[in-house]
Amino acid sequence: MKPLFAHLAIGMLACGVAAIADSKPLEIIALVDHYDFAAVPDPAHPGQYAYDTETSEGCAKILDHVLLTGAKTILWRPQAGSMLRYPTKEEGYLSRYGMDKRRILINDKQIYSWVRYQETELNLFDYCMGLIRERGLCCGVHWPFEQNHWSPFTFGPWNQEHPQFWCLTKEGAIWQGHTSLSFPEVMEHKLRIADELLATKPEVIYMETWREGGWSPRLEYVQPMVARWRERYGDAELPNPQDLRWCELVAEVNHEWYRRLRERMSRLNPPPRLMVGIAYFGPGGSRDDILRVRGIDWPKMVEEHLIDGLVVMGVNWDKQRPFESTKEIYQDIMNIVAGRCQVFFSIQGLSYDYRQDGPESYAKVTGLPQEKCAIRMMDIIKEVGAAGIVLEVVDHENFVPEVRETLKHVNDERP
Amino acid sequence: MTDMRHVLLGAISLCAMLCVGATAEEAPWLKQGNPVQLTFGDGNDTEAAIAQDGRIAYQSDVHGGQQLFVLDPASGKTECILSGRPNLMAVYPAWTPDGGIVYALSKPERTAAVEYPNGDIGCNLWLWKHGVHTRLTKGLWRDITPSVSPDGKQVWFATNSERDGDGISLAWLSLDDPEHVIHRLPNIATGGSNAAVSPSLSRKGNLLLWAQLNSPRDTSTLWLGPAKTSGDSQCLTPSTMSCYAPSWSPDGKHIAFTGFKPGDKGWGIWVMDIHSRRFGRLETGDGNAKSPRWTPDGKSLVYENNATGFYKLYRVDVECAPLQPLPKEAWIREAATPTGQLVRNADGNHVWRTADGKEQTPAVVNGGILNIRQPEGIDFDGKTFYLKARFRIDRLPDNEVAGVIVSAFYPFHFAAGWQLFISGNDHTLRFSSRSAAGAYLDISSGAPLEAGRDYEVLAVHEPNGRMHMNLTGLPPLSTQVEVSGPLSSAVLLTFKAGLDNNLPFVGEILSFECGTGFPEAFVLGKTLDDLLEEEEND
Repeated sequence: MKPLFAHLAIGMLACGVAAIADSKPLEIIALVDHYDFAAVPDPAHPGQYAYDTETSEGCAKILDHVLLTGAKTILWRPQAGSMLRYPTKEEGYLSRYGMDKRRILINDKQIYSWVRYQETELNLFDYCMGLIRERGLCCGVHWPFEQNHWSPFTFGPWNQEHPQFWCLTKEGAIWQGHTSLSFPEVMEHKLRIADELLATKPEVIYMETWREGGWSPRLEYVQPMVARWRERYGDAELPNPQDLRWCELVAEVNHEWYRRLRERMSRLNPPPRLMVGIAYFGPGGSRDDILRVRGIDWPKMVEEHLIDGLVVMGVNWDKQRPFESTKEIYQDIMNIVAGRCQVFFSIQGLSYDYRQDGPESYAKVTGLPQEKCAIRMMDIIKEVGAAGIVLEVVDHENFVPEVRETLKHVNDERP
Repeated sequence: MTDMRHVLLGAISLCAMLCVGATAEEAPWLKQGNPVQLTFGDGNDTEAAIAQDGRIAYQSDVHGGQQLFVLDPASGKTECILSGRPNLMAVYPAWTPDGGIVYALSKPERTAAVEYPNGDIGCNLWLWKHGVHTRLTKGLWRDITPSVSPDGKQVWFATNSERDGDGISLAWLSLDDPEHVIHRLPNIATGGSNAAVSPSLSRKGNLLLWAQLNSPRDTSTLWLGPAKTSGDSQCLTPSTMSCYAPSWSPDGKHIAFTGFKPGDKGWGIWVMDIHSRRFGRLETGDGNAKSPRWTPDGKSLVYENNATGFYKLYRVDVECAPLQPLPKEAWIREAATPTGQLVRNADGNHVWRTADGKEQTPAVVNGGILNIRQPEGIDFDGKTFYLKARFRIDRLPDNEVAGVIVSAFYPFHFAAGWQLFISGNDHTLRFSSRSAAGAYLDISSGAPLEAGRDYEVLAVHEPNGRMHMNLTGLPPLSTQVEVSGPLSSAVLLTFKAGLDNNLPFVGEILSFECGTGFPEAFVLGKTLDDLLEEEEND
């Protein structure tokens, strides 16, 4: 870990980088979850649905709607947590079975639970990647790895079949279905999924770490991690999950995951960009805060050029000084990154403004219209020299038309 | 917990592994024979159910989808009773005493966007009898894990037919009723995403056994309670294990289930002696072993195991030696010592007053939510503690949210350490607490509360794992859950809301007191011993 002054020194250099970057157009990246379109009513046909998300025609219609934002990079989601949404060999027969007698699937009383992406004859995920490429856009994978904000309903069959790899709290409580990467078998399983995703020739792999629940040192009191602790610290009592020594140990495993994933990605020619999404940034870049919450040492990932893009999915801005404090935190992050990888900041849509980084949240505090807030946010992103914007998440009408128009013209010259 | 089995025989092959009469480690009362494979070939054969005459119904994906088969172990012949296109899902067979099979069926033919508006995409119950398939339930929901009562009159199952969230509850229907009206159990697993599944009635029909997932970040546990009223339900397994698919032995003395305990190499078959609460794991060799079902003579279990690469059915002989029941506990009712009270000062403002007279002034936010930082008087580590509240409800919470009357936060938990709240799903009153491992525990009033009424509640959590509730107008309730977790160094006490001042309670807290021990007027509900005794003496 570099001391702070080293970051600052690099940061001063970065100001030059930022000035150069200022002249580059911002890359607009849309995160797309086609599942979210399944329940959109068709205004022309009451009682019917606007998108048949299990068909190629439905997916093409979704892409048309996504492109209203002006995004040129489209990251399609292949799964919810560990529930893969294409005919996967890795998940085995239970993914086709589609039932688990301990639970029901998410949103069962709505259409959502009755879509069967894993059973479609056409691999829709592969189809969508091809469609995006066909339209001259950059295609990629939005991989909300082991995402579990809807857990346990998004944990897939492989996870459910392997309780021996489940995460545990320090007190020994089981989180049913959530597996730990510290088990070599889990890492190998995830890499086999990565192979399935890479077979679709994506240009970007973007992985989530920020969603609630996953990637937490709180859940890593499993045998391999305890063995690591013993090896490093002997008989010292297992620390609490906030202890930085423990968090760093967990981060080593996660770091290893990215290293191995990157190695896998490098087999493609050209290799896709690896982007990682992190939230909970406060002033100063909050390395330790993110380490504690997610077990991810992001400055180290930047330093080792492990990632091509850092996606900032949420910052703890000050409601008294919304835009000023946002810019300060963004600048802190840019200073630490210092041009060593691309940096993207998120603009979140209406329905998924979890981290209050959407125009709506700024509009509430400032009283400005959403599109004005969006313009101000985009200006800040340009001013700090970031590479672009990530739209979380482009569902049906999740960005109001005024904001979509603003986004479309983000790279136009303005007086 | 006693008799937890550890993994012994990782790589030893199935045939060489056991001899008849071997005993499961740490469970010498549980003897078993060699597992015998019953089905062979490609495809996964799962969810065995055994008829009185020994025939085994199961589901298989050998031809795609899930189809139903019946195996006659005597002749070795297999009959397919329901086949169809690869997207046909016929699952969870359960025999009626007269040779019928109840099962769940889903047969989607087109995409959900096309089928869903037509309303016939649901997964519902059917009965196969004398070669005829009759529909029992119909709707855009899932009815799963049926079982048939020992008298053959009722089908018990899990359904989300009246759930708006991601949860699933227990219900039954009468096979004699031509309308097959669904009767739901109102007060089991009623939270937004809670799941209660795999219900089955005891031999005499007094007790209901099921598996339950209490919250999204939790694990499956086994529960037992009085059938149909479902108050006084008791948790049988700890949150440090994952347990589901319970099955009564024919004599009602044992429960077999699918289980996992950290350190195991995968899913295994466990057997519990219900009166002693001791349980042990059978040795089933490599692979996962799941979904045990007793043979009618109670001498064997049939289950599925995937050691060969596919799940196949196996039978294993089991002999459970008699065990001494747990001595019936005498209630030790420590007298109550109040530790904190919400009172009003001379100016009419709320203050938090501890037993030694110290007062803390709450911060009032959002028009009446009270926050007391670093509150004193609510550190209950290792002690029986109680909450005593009088409140009036002005408006019941909306569906899928809650109205939190009081919540307390400690450094050890993500969310509240304990709270008293009204569920938005069913408007029951809930008292929740935490296990030693941090798992969510609760006891429910069972019956819904009404707006515009005053209520008085006494709620208790004992360190031995029992929770109790006395609520105006309702019989006393008790439940066996788990030992309470660390409740010291409290960081926040909030009245009229939950975490981050969300989930507001719309009403008035007329008085609140908490403390250690049992309040004098407290009436205890039924214990697990009481329930078992009732079944025994019926």
